[in-house]
Amino acid sequence: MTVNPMYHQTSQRMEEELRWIQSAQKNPESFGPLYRRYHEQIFRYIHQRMSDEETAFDVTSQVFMKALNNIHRYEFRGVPFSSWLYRIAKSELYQAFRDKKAERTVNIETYQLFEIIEEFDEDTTEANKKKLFESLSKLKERDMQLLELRFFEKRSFREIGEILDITENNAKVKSFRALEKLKKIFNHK
Amino acid sequence: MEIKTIQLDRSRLSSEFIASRQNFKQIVKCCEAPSISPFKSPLFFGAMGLSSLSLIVLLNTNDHAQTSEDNSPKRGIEMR
Repeated sequence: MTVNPMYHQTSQRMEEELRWIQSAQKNPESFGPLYRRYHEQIFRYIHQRMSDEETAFDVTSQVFMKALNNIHRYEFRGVPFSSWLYRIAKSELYQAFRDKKAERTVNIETYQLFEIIEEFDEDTTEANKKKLFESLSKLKERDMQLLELRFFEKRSFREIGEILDITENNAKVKSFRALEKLKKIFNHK
Repeated sequence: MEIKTIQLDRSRLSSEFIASRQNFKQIVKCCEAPSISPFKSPLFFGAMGLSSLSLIVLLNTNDHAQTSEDNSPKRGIEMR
């Protein structure tokens, strides 16, 4: 499986980012380059998990407002700034679900369903596609979250770990367990 | 958390469209430091604390001075 390389940045890019962060800690106007760099990523992460586009834009704005309000507390730990933004995004997203501003939705592409069917060593038939689609709806939220990050969004275990605030190894173990659970449901159908 | 819907092959929004919805001015405007009420500012409490303390000290000193004055033997009058 190919992993989305966007998250893993060069040291030059990280240094540039650190300069922007330090500058934004002194002057909120300097947050602009960070906002422009991460707006689309954060929006897509949120929009992927809900159906309403406008609410997704609203939640994205809230994420950046919260980030800017708390930028003085941010401490650089050698990981991309986006991992901090994703954690805020996750918290704002679940708050929106709790406040009933949005409905939890899972968005999948057909080819992603077929990729999972191949992982299960099954034939990529229409019947199996339907079976997998039904199996996914029976999965618990925490397992779905891991499958979304790993198999639908192609994130690395390191990135998943940083978003979910768990270790890279734990992210790996949990992702495979989630896939195993899905396989179990799929095979019992 | 209940997963309400699973959507298949939803149309992907273009990067240009998402970029067109950026509004950095609004983010900065909302995050501009809200003017802290003078009653909630630490300066207010500091100043109030200091002035209260000095008032207490001043009153105590005055009171003490007055008491010692009252207790001191009065000169010029002799009791017989």
